[in-house]
Amino acid sequence: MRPYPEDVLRAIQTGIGAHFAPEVKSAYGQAQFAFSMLLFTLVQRDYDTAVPDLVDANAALRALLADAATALAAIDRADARAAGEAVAALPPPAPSLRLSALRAENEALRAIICSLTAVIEPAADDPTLATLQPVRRAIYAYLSADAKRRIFPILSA
Amino acid sequence: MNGPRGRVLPPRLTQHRPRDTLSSMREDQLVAYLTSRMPDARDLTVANIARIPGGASRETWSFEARWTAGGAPVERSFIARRDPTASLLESNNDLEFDLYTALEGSGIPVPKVHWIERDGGAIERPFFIMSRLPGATDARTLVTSPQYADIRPTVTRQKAEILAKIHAVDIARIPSLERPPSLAASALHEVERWERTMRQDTLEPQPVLELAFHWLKRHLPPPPERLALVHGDYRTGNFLYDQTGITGILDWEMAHAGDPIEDLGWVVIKSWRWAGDDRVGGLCTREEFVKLYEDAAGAKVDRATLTFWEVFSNVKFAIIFITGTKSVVEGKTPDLLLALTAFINPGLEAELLELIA
Repeated sequence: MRPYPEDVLRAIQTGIGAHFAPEVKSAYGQAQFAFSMLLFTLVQRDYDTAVPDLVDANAALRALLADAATALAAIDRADARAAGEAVAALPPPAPSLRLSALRAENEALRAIICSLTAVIEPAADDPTLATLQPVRRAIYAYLSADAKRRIFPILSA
Repeated sequence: MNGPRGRVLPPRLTQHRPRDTLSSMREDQLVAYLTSRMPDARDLTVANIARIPGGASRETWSFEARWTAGGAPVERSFIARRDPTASLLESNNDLEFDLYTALEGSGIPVPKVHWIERDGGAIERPFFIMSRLPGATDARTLVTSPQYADIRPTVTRQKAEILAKIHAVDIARIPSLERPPSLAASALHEVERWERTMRQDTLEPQPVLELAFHWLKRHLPPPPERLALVHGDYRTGNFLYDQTGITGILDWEMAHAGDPIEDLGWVVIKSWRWAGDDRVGGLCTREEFVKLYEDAAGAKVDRATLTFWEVFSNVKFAIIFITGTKSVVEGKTPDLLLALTAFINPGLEAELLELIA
């Protein structure tokens, strides 16, 4: 039913701006008010796409980890074997489309990516980790695209 | 809780509202405090108390005081720096107070500090009070307003020259300055310090920062020739300026002893490019600033070392916001700036991945 939650958020933002902003006199208070308006904008930006963004992210992370498992299996090094064991312990898929479930899955998958970083990062110039280079490029590309998708130009706002 | 006539008031009507959350500083508190520190002052009054926006690591308040001394009227503008309820940084007033004291007369423009209170009884939390210097800090106004077009070249040169002066300070004069265990370990010491902070404060996995920490440990620079005073937050926006140029260097909370090139790494990160182009700090190109610094310091800057500290600076900046996020999520602060700054991190992550790819 209307108003949807995003309608309510927008109404709160507009209402606060109309009713309270003129009452805020101090420079500090005005700065805090401006921050609150930006935060409303951020929440509205992410609200509608939060679920599909997490579903896509979790699928992408699982694909990267599958490729990493294959590449790690070909490397005879203790740190690569440890990383391979971490990748083998994938979390189960989120049991629902609730944000809390999708976030828990996402954090578990990102934690496994973290456990790979000790071998992924030096793979660029360590010949014994050369088979990881395509996975390294893919992980960096994914993380870069993910970061850029989340950028909100606050320092220039 | 007794009200004005001894009645028991319901809690919501008592005078014990959480002043921390209200971020207050009252006139009567300041009058009582200043009177206690200046017993010869007569008819002391305080006016125009205002919290200065920004300063996400420590509250900054300005106020004016008037009194009579020896029959003559005195009027002074002061700044009070007070510990926050929660912060982007773990820092202490002592270091900033000691630095300002040690740098007085050094040619580095810093405010004159007057008093420090470590127990915070007078105005609720620990604080120190210093004189207010003239000038403004707003970075975007400095780099974009036609009003400051003529002074920008002077400010740019002074920014490099003052940084060289900071790095020439004898750190033996500042005993409270945090030092690395050895010259050789100075870079790793800083890397590990911030890695510990990340592990302590992060609420979620940080794959980009993990990659960056591995990169930093594999690209440690050669030790500096000597340990220098590192400002730790030297950038456009953290100095005061007016039509005469730079009038004060502020925000020393992250100062420590270390590699002086660390400060240059902080200067050049993209986050401070206030003019919206490639000019570092919105003032000049990266190479122009490094050259100005080299001329002032009389030493060459190794470009690979500069890149190391540029990567480090992006990591450090991201971790500062991770600490702020934790304070917000745990409900330790009403400061909305700390909630907002968390959203700076995606840009820092994207920049890091370009630098370390």
